[in-house]
Amino acid sequence: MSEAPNLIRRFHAGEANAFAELVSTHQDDLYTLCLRAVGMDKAEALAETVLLAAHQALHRLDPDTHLYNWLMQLAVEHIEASGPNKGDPSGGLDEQSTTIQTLLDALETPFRVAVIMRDIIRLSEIQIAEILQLPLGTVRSRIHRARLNMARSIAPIMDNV
Amino acid sequence: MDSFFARNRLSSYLDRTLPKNEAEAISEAIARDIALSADVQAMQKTLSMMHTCGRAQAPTGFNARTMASIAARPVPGSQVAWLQRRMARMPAELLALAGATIVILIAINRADDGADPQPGAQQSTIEAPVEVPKDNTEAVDEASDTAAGEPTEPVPPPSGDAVATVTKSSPSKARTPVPTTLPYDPSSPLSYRILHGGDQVLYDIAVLADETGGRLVDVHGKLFTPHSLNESRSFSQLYLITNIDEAPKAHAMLIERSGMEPYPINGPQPPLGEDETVFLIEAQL
Repeated sequence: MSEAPNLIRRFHAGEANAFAELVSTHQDDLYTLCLRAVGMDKAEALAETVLLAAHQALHRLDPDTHLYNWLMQLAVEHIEASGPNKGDPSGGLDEQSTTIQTLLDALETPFRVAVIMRDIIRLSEIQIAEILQLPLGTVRSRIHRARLNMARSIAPIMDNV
Repeated sequence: MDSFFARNRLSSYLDRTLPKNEAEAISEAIARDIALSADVQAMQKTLSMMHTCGRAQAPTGFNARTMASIAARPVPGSQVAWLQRRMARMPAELLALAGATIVILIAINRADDGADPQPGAQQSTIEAPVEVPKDNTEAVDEASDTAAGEPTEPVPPPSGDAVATVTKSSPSKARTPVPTTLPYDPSSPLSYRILHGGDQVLYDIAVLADETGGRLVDVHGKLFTPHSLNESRSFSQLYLITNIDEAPKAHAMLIERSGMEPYPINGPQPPLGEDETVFLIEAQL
């Protein structure tokens, strides 16, 4: 994910459009992470909460911070605080998307977040390790275990999807 | 390679991040083991579904709704936020103000009545000026005048002990106005002490930084995050960096907030940009 040039500095300088640009640049990844981590019912509210928290904290953020990683880190903190998804996994999604959501909901939050970042948002393992502030080996292990659990859950219904 | 080790490397195998010889060994293990082969197929299917259907776009109008929510909130670090913090603390301040008003009214009534002041009261009124630091000559004169109309006599300068007594027993008396016309010399940066600043003093300094267009940093030049002071974290040292044009204003505001004369900085300073100057601030709970 490429960084918008000097977005933090522009925000510090009081440029009115800087935060709106941040939102439009990162909203899809942020919304995807929230949607897949907490479900359709809470996704939009959670993504908005993360952005509000980011807006409150951005004025004291070091301008050299990797903005995307910082934002995703903030999102993960909110996801962990929001608890598991207990809503209807189908909630307006198509059949395959609902299947993915059902498989993800069965995972514990740390494994779910890791596999969403790797296989849905398509971040590298190194970047995920930076965001989650974990050793690379731990991230690889979480991704593998999540994939294996999902694969074993999908096997009985694989003919139908 | 046996199936157990092969299964533990399936993710890397499917991501094609394994060395060639290891990938070949896993291919052979998959060909031998039906259960492993089923796991591979299921994992491939799962990955394929996540790659193709996993992503979502933010709902229509998400950006606008978010920006509207943000617009409804005070800008962080702004004067509005400062005012909100003040409002939250208003009841305690109002109480203190009401108490102070009552004390002043009682003192005025006693002076107007012309009655002989109580010995104890006279003593306390006369002693008060002695407890005030040197530079508060105006306050000393006022206090002398209220001493039952007695002729004003020169008040001896306070001893070090007396000032120390004030600092311990009544900190509010120690914060006295200091002329803000002290010259500012950009070639010699100064340090300002804010004693008894209260638990929110760092936020007040952040507002001061906003008003002078400056920024708060630590000694390495990293942005300083204001926080509440408390018993276990009662002191903080930070630097205000402003443009040189705003320096006299910042100097005057810091002297007013400090109530003490600044002194030259002896020690390291954060890196400065062109046309920038630095102020060291030592704030205490």
